[in-house]
Amino acid sequence: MVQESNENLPTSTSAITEDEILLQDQQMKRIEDEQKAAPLVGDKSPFFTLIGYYDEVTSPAFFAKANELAETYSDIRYIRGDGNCFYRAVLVGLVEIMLNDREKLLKFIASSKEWTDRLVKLGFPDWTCTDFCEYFIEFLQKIADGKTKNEAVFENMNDDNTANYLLMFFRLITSGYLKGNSTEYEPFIGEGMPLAQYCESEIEAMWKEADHLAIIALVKATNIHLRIEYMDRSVAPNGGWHHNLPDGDDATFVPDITLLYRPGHYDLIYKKSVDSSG
Amino acid sequence: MTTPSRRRLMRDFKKLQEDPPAGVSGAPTEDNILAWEAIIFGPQETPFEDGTFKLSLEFTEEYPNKPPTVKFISKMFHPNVYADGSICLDILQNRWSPTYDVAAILTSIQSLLDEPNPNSPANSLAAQLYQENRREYEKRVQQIVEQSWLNFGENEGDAVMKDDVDTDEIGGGQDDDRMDEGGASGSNA
Repeated sequence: MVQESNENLPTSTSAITEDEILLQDQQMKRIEDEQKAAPLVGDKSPFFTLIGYYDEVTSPAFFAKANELAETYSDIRYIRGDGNCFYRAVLVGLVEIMLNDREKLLKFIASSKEWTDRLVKLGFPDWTCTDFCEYFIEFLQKIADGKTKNEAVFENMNDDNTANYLLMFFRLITSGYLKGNSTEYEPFIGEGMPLAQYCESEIEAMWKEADHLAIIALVKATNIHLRIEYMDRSVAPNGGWHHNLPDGDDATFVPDITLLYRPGHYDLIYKKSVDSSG
Repeated sequence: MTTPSRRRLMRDFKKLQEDPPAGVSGAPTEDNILAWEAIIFGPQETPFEDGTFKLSLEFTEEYPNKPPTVKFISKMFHPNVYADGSICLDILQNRWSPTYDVAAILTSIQSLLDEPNPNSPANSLAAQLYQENRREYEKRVQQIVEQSWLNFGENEGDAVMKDDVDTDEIGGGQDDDRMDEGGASGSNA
């Protein structure tokens, strides 16, 4: 058989047999089951638990880096690796901030309402998109009204269906930000793919990993300061060990949320508080 | 507390009732919001015209993040529909988006009827006839269009199409499946 259809596999239903589909389904199911063995959002764990993942002899670079990061960071919250980890880490990070800062919570509710109107104006399918927005706003409003306690918030974050419905809001505003600034971002999309198609297949589709464009767009859409720490220098822009978004000088940049990037995956990490260091 | 999927499905249903797209209808079964039945009318000026095709939609708690399983209950003859009624349609598989609702699913299937994708054949005979012998293809389609009235009458006592078919043939009940050679031909001419 000719395999020419492989290159556009992700977006086409080209000639594949029923058996192949069945096999794919089984493999997908197995991967999904493995992923679901881990919680969506772990409890805060001591950062040094990360060191245990790396062997000093077989992966000396990551082992050393984990040790180095442990000097700066006290805690890590492991996020399930299901393709949603970037969006989920930001969602959880933001919710944590809002649980402790009522002013930011109310501000974010207001900006989420603005996003609802903006998405409709951008031509997103009207009622299904507004439903995701309403659900997210309701979730925040219940926190603001004291109807949802902190523990319940984290239960929601760990319930697949609730958490993923909330997460979809983040995918939509990421897509909305790109669509609203298409002239600026379209040139970055490879192979001449139209921006709208890129947004639909790569951003709005659940379980699709966030690429660099998605990361910038979500940072801008939520108006946060994000720092990403890298385990090695191969992926960080400018060959650095970490990346500030939006671009900011290390001396003055104060991140709201910090993520740790390990190849293909993001977790939330927390800096040591000043008085507890040393 | 209702789950997001059940909440969304209630809203899908409300939307479908208040603002129904042309030629499709659907509703949850009486006791289960996750199991729906739908009807798609064959698009006009196509070989599927006048067909009333029944489908089942099975949702999970992961809807709308995951698509429902959609199957034709009525017999179908189409390049992208398997023998068991399963449908090979990209938006129900790898191009699914959580922004689709039931109305979007049903209208997509309705347009698929007259716009088959011969590159992903689920029924190789249908795909072959569609490409090589359109006359025979349309004849086969006409047969399942006529069967769709029978099945409809069989399952729904007071179905709208009842008057169009010979009542003796409806009475045949279980034997309907075997009458695929023009049993009710011309009844709606």
